[in-house]
Amino acid sequence: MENEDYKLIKLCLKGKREVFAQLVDKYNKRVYNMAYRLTSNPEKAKDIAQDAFIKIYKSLDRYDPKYKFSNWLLKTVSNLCIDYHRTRAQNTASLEVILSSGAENAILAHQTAINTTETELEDRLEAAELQSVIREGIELLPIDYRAVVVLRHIQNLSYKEISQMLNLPMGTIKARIHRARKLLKGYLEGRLPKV
Amino acid sequence: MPSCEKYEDLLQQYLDKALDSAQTAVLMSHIEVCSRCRLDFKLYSKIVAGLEEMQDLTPPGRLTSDVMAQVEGLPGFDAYVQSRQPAPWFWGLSAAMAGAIAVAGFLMLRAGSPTAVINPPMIAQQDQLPVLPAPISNIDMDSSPRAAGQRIVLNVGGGQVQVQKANSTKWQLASAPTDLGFGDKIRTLDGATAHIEYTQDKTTLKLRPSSLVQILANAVRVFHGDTWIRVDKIGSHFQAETPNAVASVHGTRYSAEVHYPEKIASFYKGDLDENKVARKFLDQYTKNLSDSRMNGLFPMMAYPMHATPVSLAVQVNMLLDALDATKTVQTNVQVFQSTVNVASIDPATNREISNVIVKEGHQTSVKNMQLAKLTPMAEDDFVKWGLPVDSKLLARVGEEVSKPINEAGMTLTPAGVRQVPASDSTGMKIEAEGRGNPGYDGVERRQ
Repeated sequence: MENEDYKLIKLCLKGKREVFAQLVDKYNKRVYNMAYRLTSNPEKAKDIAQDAFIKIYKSLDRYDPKYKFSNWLLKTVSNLCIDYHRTRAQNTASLEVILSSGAENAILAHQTAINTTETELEDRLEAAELQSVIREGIELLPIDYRAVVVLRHIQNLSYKEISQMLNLPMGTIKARIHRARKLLKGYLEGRLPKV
Repeated sequence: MPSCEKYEDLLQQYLDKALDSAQTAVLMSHIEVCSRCRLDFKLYSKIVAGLEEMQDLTPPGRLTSDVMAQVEGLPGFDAYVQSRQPAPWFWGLSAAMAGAIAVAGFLMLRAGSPTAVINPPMIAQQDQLPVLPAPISNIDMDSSPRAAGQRIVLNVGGGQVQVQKANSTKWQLASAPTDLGFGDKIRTLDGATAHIEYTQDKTTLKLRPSSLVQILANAVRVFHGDTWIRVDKIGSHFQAETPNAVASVHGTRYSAEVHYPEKIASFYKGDLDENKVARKFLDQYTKNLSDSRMNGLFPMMAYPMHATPVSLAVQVNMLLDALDATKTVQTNVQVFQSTVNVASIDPATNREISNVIVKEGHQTSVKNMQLAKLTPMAEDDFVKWGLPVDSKLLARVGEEVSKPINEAGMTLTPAGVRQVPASDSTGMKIEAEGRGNPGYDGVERRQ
């Protein structure tokens, strides 16, 4: 209940710091999972989750009850994860870069269709470890795309909520998600085992 | 199969659960007869299902206790209210991204090998500050921000921030919020930061330490250092000029590009002038609009184009080569939001060499310039700032060097992939303007 969150926040602001623990307990799973999906690193995810809660705590007086408290938290996590990716010393090539190196054209031009029948594809999908391939694909997405995909499909937020959260037009969010799904499809097609 | 393109868009909407029953029926009947779309449909469905079924992980048990241990050690809320910038929702993602930008602004003097980085002496007291050259003559001094209906306010983030008014040659320390005029220069010394806001339209500039910029009505000149810019201009034009590049924000012209990511990709190739790109884009846009079945796929229609804010960082580095008395300028432009047109300018001819559109999440580097010559003014600057000047360098002042380092000169890379060194700030205090840099003679370079 969001109203419940606001009540707790007001208590915190009156000096009852211990009440903040209730908010942390309530949202730590979502916050940690968001951080984990955006970093793929359990230790870093924990650090970012912790930093996000502290950052939010320091800004509690600026909480606007028009927005969901949970979305504010997720936005903070998303920003911290983006910072983390941007400042990381060794960046791996993103999926966009990999695909744009030449493979993308092949994939986006649907060349695989020439060689794959429907039955073959189904057999290959059956044989694939889809979850792990999708996870790998997400890890290779550029962070901006990764963030919106996680918010949309894993955190189940609406386009409107993501748009408000990231302060970007809804069209941009949609375009990013469509693009991310296309990149994931390209990756999945490339990773399907031969049967 | 080109006719499948529209079904790809319908399919994306289907995955978004945004199709009504009639549209769903249209999609399904196509899928029945088109094997490629049927395969895509299966793949996409698997991906979306796979994403939605991802299992939640359990956070470490000590997360709450660790957070609360930190909370207990924090000061009361009053301590935070005083010391921060306003409106977290307003700044949103961009501010966080901007925080990740590495500091820049360095001068390297290469005397044979190895390459040496020079730390010029920092200016500690105001009365020791050297006098810089007179302001550029052809800035319109008659106009003022107030006449244009706005204020440009400088806020000091910390450290020593100095202002040189357009009609003066003296640098003055800025402390309280200061009103700026067109032509004023602002510099941040080592460790200092500043925040400049055009109050009418909220265009905002943030200066990292060791930066030097000049304020104009619809532009900022970045002489060196690292400047982050956010533009919310309403149907207007704003550009960042560096010694060898111009990054222009045309909110009304390019904002829609965000919605055609894969189509725009092909625009990056080749030398395209701005109008050609715009025309190509508008053609595509018009074509899409004329297809009623594609209406609604481009919700940018619902947003006034000027409502798309643009944020970017402009970073200028200078490289001085003592061997051949040339100076190289490197400009990096990183785009965090929307798209920015970046043109590389040849300082010798003041003409545009090439032009790219940088979409959000990407950056471009322009480093093809070796300035034609090191002018007496540049030499003076070295002396005034107490920099060691190689005798060989002085002896060769004025010699022409016209060979560009790189013909193409521009590279486009995803911003996240490349790491910008974080510790190169040395507090360089070299002016790059004036006779030695025709890029700053005030001549309008663009149509």
